[in-house]
Amino acid sequence: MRAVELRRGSYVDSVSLMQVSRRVSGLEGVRSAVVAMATDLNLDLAAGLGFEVPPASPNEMLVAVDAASADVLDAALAEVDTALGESARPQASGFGDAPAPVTVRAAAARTQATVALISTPGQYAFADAVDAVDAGLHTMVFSDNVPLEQEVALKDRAAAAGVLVMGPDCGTAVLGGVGLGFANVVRPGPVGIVAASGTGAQQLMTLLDGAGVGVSHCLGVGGRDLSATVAGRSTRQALDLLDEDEATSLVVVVSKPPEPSVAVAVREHAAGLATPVLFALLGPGEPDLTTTAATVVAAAGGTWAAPEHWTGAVGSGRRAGALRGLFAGGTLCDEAMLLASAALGPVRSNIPLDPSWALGDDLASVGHTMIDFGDDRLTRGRPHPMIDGSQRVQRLLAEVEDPTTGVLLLDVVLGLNAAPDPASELAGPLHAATAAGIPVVTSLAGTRDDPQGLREQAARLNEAGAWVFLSNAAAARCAVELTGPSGGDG
Amino acid sequence: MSLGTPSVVVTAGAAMFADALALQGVGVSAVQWQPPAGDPASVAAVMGDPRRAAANARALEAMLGAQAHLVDVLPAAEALGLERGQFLHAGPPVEWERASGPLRGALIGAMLFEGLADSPASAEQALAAGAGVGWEPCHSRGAVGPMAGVVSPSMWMFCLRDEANGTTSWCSLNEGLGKVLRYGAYDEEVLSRLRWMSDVLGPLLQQAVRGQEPVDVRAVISQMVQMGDEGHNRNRAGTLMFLREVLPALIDSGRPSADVAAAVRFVAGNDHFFLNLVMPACKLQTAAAAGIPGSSVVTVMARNGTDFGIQTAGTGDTWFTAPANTPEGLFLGAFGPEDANPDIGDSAITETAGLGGLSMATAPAIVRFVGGAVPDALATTQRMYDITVGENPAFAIPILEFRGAPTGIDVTSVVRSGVLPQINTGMAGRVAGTGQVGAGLVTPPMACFTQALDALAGSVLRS
Amino acid sequence: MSPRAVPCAASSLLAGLLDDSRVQPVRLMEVARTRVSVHYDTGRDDVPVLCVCTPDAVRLPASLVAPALPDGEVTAQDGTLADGTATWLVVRWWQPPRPRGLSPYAVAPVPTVDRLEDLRPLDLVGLGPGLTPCGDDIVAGALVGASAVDHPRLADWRQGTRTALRARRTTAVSRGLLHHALEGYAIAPLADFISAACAGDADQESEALLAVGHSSGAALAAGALHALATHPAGRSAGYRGAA
Repeated sequence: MRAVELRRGSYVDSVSLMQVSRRVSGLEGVRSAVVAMATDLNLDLAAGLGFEVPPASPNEMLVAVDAASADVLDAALAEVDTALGESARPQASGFGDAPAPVTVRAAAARTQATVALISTPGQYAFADAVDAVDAGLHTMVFSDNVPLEQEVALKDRAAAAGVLVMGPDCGTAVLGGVGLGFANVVRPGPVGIVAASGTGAQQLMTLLDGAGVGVSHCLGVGGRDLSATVAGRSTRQALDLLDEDEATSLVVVVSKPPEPSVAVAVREHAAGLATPVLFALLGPGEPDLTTTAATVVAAAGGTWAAPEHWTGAVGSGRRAGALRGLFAGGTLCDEAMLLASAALGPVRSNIPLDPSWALGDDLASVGHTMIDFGDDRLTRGRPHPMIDGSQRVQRLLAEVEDPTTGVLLLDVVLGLNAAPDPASELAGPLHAATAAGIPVVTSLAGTRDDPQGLREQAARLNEAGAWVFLSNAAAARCAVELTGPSGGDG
Repeated sequence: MSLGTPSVVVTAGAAMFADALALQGVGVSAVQWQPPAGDPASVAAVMGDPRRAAANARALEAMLGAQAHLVDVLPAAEALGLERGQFLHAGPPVEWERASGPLRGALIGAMLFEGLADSPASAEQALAAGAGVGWEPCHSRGAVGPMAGVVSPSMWMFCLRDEANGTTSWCSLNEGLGKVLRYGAYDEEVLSRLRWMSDVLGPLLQQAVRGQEPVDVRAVISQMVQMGDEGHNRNRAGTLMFLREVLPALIDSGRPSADVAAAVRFVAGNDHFFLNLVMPACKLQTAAAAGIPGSSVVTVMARNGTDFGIQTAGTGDTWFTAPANTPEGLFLGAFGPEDANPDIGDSAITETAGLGGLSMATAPAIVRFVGGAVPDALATTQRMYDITVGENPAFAIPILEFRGAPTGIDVTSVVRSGVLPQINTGMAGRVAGTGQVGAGLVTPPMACFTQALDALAGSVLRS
Repeated sequence: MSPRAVPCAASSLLAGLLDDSRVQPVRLMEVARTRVSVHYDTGRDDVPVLCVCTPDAVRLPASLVAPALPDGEVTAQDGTLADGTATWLVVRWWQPPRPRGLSPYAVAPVPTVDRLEDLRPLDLVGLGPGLTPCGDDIVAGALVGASAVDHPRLADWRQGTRTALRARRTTAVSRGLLHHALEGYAIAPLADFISAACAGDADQESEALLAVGHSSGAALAAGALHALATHPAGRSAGYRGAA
């Protein structure tokens, strides 16, 4: 018994919808349930589950329920209503209280806010960010899929207003200890980070924290900031802000290799500052993030020791096969691909290092393959894999079934806003993999203060048979070694 | 701005980010966000328009600087050069075929009043044929008219001046409640009242107004807002204060004391008399913001009983129209929702200027009349601050700690938030000749604002 | 893990205490309590007094800011605090303010400067009523002010304060305050006041500082102004020379 409804005029963010979906799916007698904004991706998902999906716009909400009986169906739909009602934020109810603000401008006007965090859908984020910049707020734009020309316009506007735009597609920022988006709980310290990459910044922060070196601020600038078009607009501004900042005595810029002309301009800009600036540019021939972390720790007067790791299981019935990497963090995926391709040859990916290594649209694995589940195209209309790992778990199970899989490599990122217990979510599939003779290597990015508990997560992954490395580069090297030269581009 | 540890963060979008900040002991101001009602490309173009912020600031400044003095009372023929067979009406332009019952009724009444027809049927025939008659919006002449807003050459008008901007606005004299022309009634009772107003009331007021310093209407509005009037559905304090202003001159006029007494009784017995002075004062205020390129501030909201139309500061006198909504509220006597005509009248100029529904918090006495409760009134005005560009300190609302009325409705804020300006209004009967059937609340159709936004977006490309 | 987790924001001065608790749990005894804060003796040299306070309290430099306060004795373990009914988890670290490298040039001369010049911590620490005796506040203000402008008497005042503290002649809350003032750490309103005073605009931030406690804010301000006004590089130097 199936029901498909489209609802208009009700908008709920994708994370809340995921929670509603889960709650309804969990009812007895419900075979499947999709409660999501009607994006193409979600409509396909529902169609894949056998629902007849009407034409819809992404501003409508799709409610699709498959239940064992009409009664269960009614109960499930009622549950959808209840759950959606609960997820709506409570209204001010006190006599004379102002209702919740409806625009960023209004919210800024009511408080002494100095910072805004925009995570509205990409096509609308520009308007909300403009409101924040016009109100004089440093503005983090978590949203992805923001048009490039809007990014340039926004950053020019911010420069004129003397505020910083972090993003678009900025996943991570830490301002004076306050974590915005995916951020690890780090101690205050002398190192300021400018990051064109969220997980790159998280890897660096966690390694520094592990070595007892604290962070003053971590300013994300968005993955495109150092492209020829955006030309480092936010990077230069972030450098200036950190140079003026009393708490910062050393700055690190983390990015993929920028456009050469932009790199020259940014380096020139950095050279004119009073604060020393280190560049961590992830690319062929460049040091990996762990090496960079060691350099930064030394420069900050700390003592570096190799990040911890825990050895995993290598089953006796081990088969030869290709390396398969499944990542939530784009930069961690990049770093692993750089190390793996240097040793093993081409690594296919949805974010390939070389255009000729691109995967097909179905993302089916071919030889050594690494997939970034956090890529724009895979997050449209659904939560980021660091929040909802289910897509990756499914792929993990599929890779275990695939006879050509030799070694699995995964990242697990802890911190604020990340899933509450990712290790437990992965434990079952990891057991299955090791039971099938496939060694699993995990790169675990987290600090001792992260709410998930670094040691507990490491122990759980290790108990499930996985190798656990706090250094992503070390994890990738281990995976390469386990794959061996025979893993081959089958 | 330097870096530091933020004590408050504004969030828009995923609720989990707000929760994570609250967990860290950081204050959160979370936006109740929803997707904008309009084309994302238009939203982005107008929000990104570098002229917008300064243009809207200029529009607000112009509105706050406008003045409004009652300088004269005279027939429409003299005031506006209106000729025989020419009529004005409320709202955007509308042809006879699409005209609503109340507008048709008021035009029929005006034909009879001007002696252009000897029966309602012949009047209707002439109007339908357009034979020797024509009509255009009050706004096209800088005037405003409540409900049907029909003005004919012999009707007397208040004449208000804004010396700061050198502009003038006009509005008819208020006939009272119930069966009246502006609600589409045209029987003998209606017509004889109109004749008395032209023969006795108009000339008396003219003599009184001309014989003294111009009445500062804005100053009266400032006071009435502190006395429980929101200037649209409640004008009781304003009416009495106006009477106080002109009473000595009326008594001194030398006219027959019976006429003076009848005039005073008429004004004092009609709590909405002052509405027809608030409206042109508001028109002067919003007209001051007209013609500012790049500004997304609304300068006109008006309805003709069929369509709702708006104009903005950045798009000249172009109307953006869509079918008007029907108000919800309370009904007089045995009337019910099926008797109500869609929204009608230029009186939404009061909301355009920050009064009426936008200042509902100041008029708790009438919240039940329009079907609400006192907390709703307070919440409504506070919500209106979210869609307006500023506040008018001259219209200070005591219960909100003397915060100024929310002023300058911003098209971008309306489209982005989905929050429409709140309008308090009277309800006309659907059938011509019925008159008033109730009062209540209504909002403009969103389509007016999305069209205006598209036009503003077009102006960005051309600028 | 305890049934209830309370998220909190920790001062970086508490890092040593909390990190050591991962190796060896520490029991902490309550020594003072107000409506918005609880103070614990730690027996440690780096952070003798730990304060747990609510967000609306004035944050001492070594505070853990939390929406709810612990009840009675607590144990620091695994980087958290626990009182048996709940666990206080650090989800954010913050750096207490520490004004430094400022110039007192813009500070107006203080008429009573001659009498105040011989500020003697030994005579002041523990003097006066309150959770932080008035004398302690004056000394704390002077220490922070002196370290902000690198005052030539700073070493003497530090020495005197250490001697006074060794004698344990004051309240536990004061001990915590003075201990961190020795290193230049301050509550935020004092740090803001000193920065504003050095920029020639003491009035701008004085309101927030004077609102601290009953008289604490005024005493902190007096101590800080004394340090700024007696600095030889200040405008007051001319005044003193003429006197």
